Amino acid sequence: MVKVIILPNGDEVSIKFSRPVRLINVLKELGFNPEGVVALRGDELITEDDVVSDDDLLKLIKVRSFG
Amino acid sequence: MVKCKLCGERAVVKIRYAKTYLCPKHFTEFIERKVKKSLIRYRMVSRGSKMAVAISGGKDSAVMLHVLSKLSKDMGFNLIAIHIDLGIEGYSEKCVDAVLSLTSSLGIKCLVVRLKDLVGRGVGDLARITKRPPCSVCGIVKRYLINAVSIELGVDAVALGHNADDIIAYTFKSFMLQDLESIPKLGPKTESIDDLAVGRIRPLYEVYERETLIYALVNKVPFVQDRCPLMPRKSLEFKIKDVFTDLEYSMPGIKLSYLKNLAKRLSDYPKPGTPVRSCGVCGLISSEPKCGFCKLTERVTGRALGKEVRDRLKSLIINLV
Repeated sequence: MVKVIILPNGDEVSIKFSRPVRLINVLKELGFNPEGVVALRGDELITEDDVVSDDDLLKLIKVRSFG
Repeated sequence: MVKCKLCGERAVVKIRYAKTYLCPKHFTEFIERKVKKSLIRYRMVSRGSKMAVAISGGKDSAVMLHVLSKLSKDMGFNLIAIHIDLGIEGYSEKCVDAVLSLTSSLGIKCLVVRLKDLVGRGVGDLARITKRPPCSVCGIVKRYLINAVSIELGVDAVALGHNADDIIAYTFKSFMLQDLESIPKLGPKTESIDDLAVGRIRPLYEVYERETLIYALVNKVPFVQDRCPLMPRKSLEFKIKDVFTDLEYSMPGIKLSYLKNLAKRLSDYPKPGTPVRSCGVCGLISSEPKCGFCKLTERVTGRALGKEVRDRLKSLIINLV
């Protein structure tokens, strides 16, 4: 189960994949455009072509500012 | 693992329009080079010039100051930071902390101007009393105070942290509303008008919002991520940004192309119909006998406070220097 926290709101979602997939597949599943978010695995930024595994915890930060 | 195209280290970003992947070091250099090119291409600075940098505490202006601080040594210009504390409870305090953390780490002097000290109220109160949208009031207050401080500091220009996506959203909205006179004001640079207005520059003119966020994260630039509590959830600017984000995904580089073409055609847009004049109360730029800030403060306090505020700013600056 890939667990995803979406910032700045802090919403959490989990997605099940039967095999490791590229981040872009996770983003598409969640309805995000890769140009509109930045993804972190732990404290590391990852690109849309990095592979994520079933036990990964991801943070997605929406790019658009609210200040 | 995806690798940096330049060095083979682990990549942290894919830049679709440049058809490349970059590691933190090479991404940082890529952004700094991009800002430097804009400073030169649009003649934003010259050696020995003095620049004020308006910094809000958000990621864009924080990244702008971080980059300008590095470039200033090489390009020979001087910086001073300005922060307007808008008095938004539970939010402005975080902004001040982030700004002071950044400016002290960079060794840059920062002038913090507190709206509540100057007019007795924060932006939220001003909006409620005048029954105007908070973002509109905030815009009047920030534009006025940033210009007033910059004039008193005697700087050659003030740098604003608008990124590529902001400028596209504002200009596209102006075009949709056929408010064509506003478009030239949103270019990479506006000129100073003696004693009335300090010229504005936008060093992040060609830097995407996504790139400022990534730069802030990889360089650990302190910034406030919280949503401003006064900002509406929906706006035309947000919708335009979403549309252009989708366009950029399917047509990489379209935003850069828009901005470069816009910069070339700015002089073709109409100039404002009303001539520029000086406010009868405070003496700063206005299109009417009284400027927006003087009218706003008059509605709230019964007195137009522009001149008084300018005098207070002078003493703030003397204490800073």
